[in-house]
Amino acid sequence: MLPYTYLLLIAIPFIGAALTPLVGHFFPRAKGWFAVACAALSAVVVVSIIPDVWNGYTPGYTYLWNDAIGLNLTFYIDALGLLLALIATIIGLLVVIYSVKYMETDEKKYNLSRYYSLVLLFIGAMVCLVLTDNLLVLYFFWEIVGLCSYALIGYYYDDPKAAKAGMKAFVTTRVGDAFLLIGIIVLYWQTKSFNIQEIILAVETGSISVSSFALPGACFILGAIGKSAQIPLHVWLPDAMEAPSPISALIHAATMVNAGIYLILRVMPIFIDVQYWLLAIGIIGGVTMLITAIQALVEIDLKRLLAYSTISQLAYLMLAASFGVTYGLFSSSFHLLVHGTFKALLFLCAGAIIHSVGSRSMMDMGGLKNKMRYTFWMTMFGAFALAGIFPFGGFWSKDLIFASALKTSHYLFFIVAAFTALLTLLYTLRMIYLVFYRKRDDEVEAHDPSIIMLVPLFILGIGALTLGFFEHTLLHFFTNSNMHVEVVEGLEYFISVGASITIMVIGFLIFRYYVHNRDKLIALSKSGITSSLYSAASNGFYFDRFYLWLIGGLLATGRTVYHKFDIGATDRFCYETVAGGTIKLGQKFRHAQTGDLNYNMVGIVIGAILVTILIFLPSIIDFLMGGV
Amino acid sequence: MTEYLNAYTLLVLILILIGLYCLISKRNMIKMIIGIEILSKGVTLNFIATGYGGIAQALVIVVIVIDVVIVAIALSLIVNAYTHHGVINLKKLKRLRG
Amino acid sequence: MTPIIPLIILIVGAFVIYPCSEALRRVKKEYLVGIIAALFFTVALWSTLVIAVDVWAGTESTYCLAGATAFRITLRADPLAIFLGIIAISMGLIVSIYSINYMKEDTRLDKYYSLLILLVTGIVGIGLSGDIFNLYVFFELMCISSYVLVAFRRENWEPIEAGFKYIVMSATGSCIALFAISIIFAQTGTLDFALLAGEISNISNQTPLLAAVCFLIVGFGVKAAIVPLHTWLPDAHAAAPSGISAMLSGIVIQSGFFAMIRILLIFSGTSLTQNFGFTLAIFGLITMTVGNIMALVQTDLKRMLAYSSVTQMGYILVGIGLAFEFGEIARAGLEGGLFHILTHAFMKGLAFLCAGAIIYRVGTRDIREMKGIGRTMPLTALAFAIAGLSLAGVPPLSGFMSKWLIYKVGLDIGGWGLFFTGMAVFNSILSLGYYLPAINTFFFAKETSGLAKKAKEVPLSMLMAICILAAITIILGIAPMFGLRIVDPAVEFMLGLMGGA
Repeated sequence: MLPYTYLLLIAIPFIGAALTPLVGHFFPRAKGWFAVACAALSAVVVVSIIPDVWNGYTPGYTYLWNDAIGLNLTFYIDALGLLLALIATIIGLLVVIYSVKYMETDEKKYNLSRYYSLVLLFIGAMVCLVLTDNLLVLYFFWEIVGLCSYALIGYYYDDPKAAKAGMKAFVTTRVGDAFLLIGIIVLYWQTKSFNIQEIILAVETGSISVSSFALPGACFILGAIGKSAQIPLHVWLPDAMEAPSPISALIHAATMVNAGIYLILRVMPIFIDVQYWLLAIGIIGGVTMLITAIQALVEIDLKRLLAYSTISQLAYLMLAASFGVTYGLFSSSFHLLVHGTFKALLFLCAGAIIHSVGSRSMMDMGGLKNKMRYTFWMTMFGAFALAGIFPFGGFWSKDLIFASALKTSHYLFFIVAAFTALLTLLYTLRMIYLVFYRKRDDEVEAHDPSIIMLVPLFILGIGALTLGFFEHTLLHFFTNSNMHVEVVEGLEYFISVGASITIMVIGFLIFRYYVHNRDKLIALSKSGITSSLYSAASNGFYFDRFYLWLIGGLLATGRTVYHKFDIGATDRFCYETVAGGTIKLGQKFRHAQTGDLNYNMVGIVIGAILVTILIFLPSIIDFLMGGV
Repeated sequence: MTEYLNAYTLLVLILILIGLYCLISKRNMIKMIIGIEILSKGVTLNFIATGYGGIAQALVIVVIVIDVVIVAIALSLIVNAYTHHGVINLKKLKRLRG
Repeated sequence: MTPIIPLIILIVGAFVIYPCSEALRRVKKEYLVGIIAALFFTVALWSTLVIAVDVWAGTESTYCLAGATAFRITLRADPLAIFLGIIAISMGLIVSIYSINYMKEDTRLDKYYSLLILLVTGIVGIGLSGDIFNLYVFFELMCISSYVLVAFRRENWEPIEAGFKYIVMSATGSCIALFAISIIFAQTGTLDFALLAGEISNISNQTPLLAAVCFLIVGFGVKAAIVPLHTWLPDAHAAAPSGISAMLSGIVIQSGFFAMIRILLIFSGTSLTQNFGFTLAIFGLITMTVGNIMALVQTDLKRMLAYSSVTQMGYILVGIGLAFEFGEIARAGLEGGLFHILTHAFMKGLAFLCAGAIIYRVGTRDIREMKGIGRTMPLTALAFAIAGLSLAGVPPLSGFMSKWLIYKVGLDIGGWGLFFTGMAVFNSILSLGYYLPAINTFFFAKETSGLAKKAKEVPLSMLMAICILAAITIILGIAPMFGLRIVDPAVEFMLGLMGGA
């Protein structure tokens, strides 16, 4: 651990973020590399903590921020937090390197200083989020990463779709955030502490009864599903793909969306005895993975497909988390690491492809295999890892989840997870086929990106290929850090490996059928029951429609009250509903502000009467009671 | 209760109510100023009514001075309103609202 | 150092401005007179800090003018007075720096700065005075200076209308407050804070004193913009020159409230039946909600900020009101209320100064005309964003810290307190409803409006004032202990008085 690690952890990215505009102003060409330097430095600082945690030491530090409200900047660094911090800084570093070339063309139109500044701010906030022990501080950085995400989704501010998507992401995650805040406050009220480890200790020693933790437990779940884009708050993530591709890779695949899972894993010891808490997480995960995998199957926008895939894979993490501390925590963390790596890789590849082709629709791609050789191979690496094909990372981590499900007797979850794995394989193969193999009549112009963009791809590709073999290293890392986790071995493990291989075989068979009968299938998708299923899936199972309908309904009931406001609002989301109602109320209130001085004087008299009544209330009550 | 309702207090209350009534009902800017003055004189009388001799008088003189300043400023505003915009009625001086 | 020194410095300053201005006018550089004002503020701030060091160390210093014991004129430097004095003088300093360029085109600058100094003198005096009548006199000094400053640009319609409303309402409020003072005087025979508490405890019939409490709340409540007594505020704040709006919003209305609690504090230590804390808290809820809802529908930037001041006043009322009601257990409310006065002064001052800077360049107060101003005036717009987010209670800005203390008081009390916390949080979210769209318009609007295109960054002195306030807003968020250093002694002092004299 470096000296002043805690200070450096906070200072490097935040000061870097603040300085980027200045650097950009004086040395316009250097700001990208300045951001790379900052990201590299923070990565070095985080890496320097590894030996301490490996040796079983959990570094802690407290800075009294505002003691009066129990807000202290407490660091508590264990394997789980450090793993997340490593992902954030290292993938962050790779993404910033990638951005130097990728974002170059935007220089003239958009202010790149803003981009790098926000990315650095995000990295710093993410690291602090996962290393802090104080729930308030966690919430604070939770909001900052949300704000960064909002600002970066809307980075192309002149694109109305981007601005709308940013607002949608902001509002949707804020629903979760509000619950999280309520949860934190209720938990504080019950335990008189904001420090996670203190609360865990109190729960473990039994000095606090967990019987009343149902409400905060539910609030924490809602907060997590907002951030981690689980049903029903998942609608923002596909739209968030309006962000530049490196941002999708960093924020919406590898790091920020994991924050919700991290929160669940972090507070699991507190709520584990709350009835149905784990089950609720498992059900949310199970439902989400199935639905979004189906959506991914019919999506034709490359980035949206990856977004649905991300939601589905995050649902694996949720599902794994529901297996409890011993088996769930580690399998979830392991898949988190693997998924972060290969999904970032896939997004960066997708970015390279989109950059080259100039469209996000897979219909505009096809036959790119020979034109973008390196990108093709790296995408294959990522796709194989995603599909869980031996010996890529996803194979091992998914097996571990299957095995944990069997070990903890969650057979239904096992079936759902296995079936989703089949769907995953199918949509991955379909994606590969459509982008790289499909023959086109016309030629698509495409070429590999420059070396600066390829280097991060190669590094992540190697990660996707090899990370699976480091399962036991990671396990040691966790157990060394005083976490009581185990991996499943023996019969259950072999059953899952068998299941995985079966899925692989079935998947390839189905896919072969698909490639040969694609036209027939497309025709089928336009008729009968399948067509309704198909349209349901391609319409996001009507979640958006439902929200719009809900809001529309609310608006319709209040039409007489705020007729003016529902015209643009049906499309916009609940913030408009609330705002619309309040604004209308404001318009009513406005009439009270007549601007007539005489009325204002009446206001004074009314105020005087009200104050008199309130002040004399006890005396009046006394008088009346005395009368009785 | 009766000990507080002596003649002075009654007069004070009457003056204050007249002042408030004037402020609520009159639309002429100068009459509003007169309303404030009546209100303020009622309060001044209450100081005198305390009967603490010299001290009360000293306080009252200060209050009167302050009143004069306020009235002077208000009147200067009225003059400005009248010379620049030709308005002396509150009804017409009513653009800021909502 | 005796507490009269800062007052003397300021009053001398107010008079020195005239000859200085005359001299500068000869060389056609009249606007530089702001520097002189800033100098006097700096010296006054320094002297206040010197006194503050003693006061925080525990030695209260008193200065007596002539008079018999019961009726002497006393200036007493206690932590509460220091608290108010530091905020007022630093705001005065920043506003005078800002006004150097902002008021450059105006004439009668000698009067402007002189009145600004007198306004600050009044506020400092409110804090320092040791008896109610003195407090009233300083209060009037503050009011009278602000009447003239609001209507300073007297050629226009708006300042005249707003100024007249302001005078009439505020003078009525003052009369009502004076009536309360006269009742207290009649009942106790003294107006000295130190003697009052004992006298009040000797009085058996509480009715007149309770009536006095009512009139105090109503009278000073007009100044403190408690709904429904707030109707003068949006007009006056919007019509005044922006520097003065910053003063009005940042510290003048708080001084009204400060004068009220200063007197109520005396009552709280006695046997008087008290529920004025509860009353204040209830009015606080009404005030914050009404202020927010009104702010939501404004298209005029300054009017929006003015209503936001009403809201923030509501927070202060809730925090301090609950502290009056529950005493020691609601310590967070007192701390939060006072800290919010401090942070609000700086962040709302910042918001108004930024608004003034934008209006100075754009020439309109309509938010819709300011689309894309973040591209032509990045620093000012960024500072406005900081102020807006801070006012809405977004961490890690200073507004978050003070608001959290106010949320916390409800949790500490429990029961009904949770309702207050809930309403406060709800209002915080409501206030995002107008700050976010405004910030959105500044930075993310698709096209830059015609007026905004022509704008450029404001001159140095304005930018300097804005940057100082922005820095304070951020620093008080990251390291609130600097602010709490000023607040905490005042909190201890107030709790001491509440505990019984």
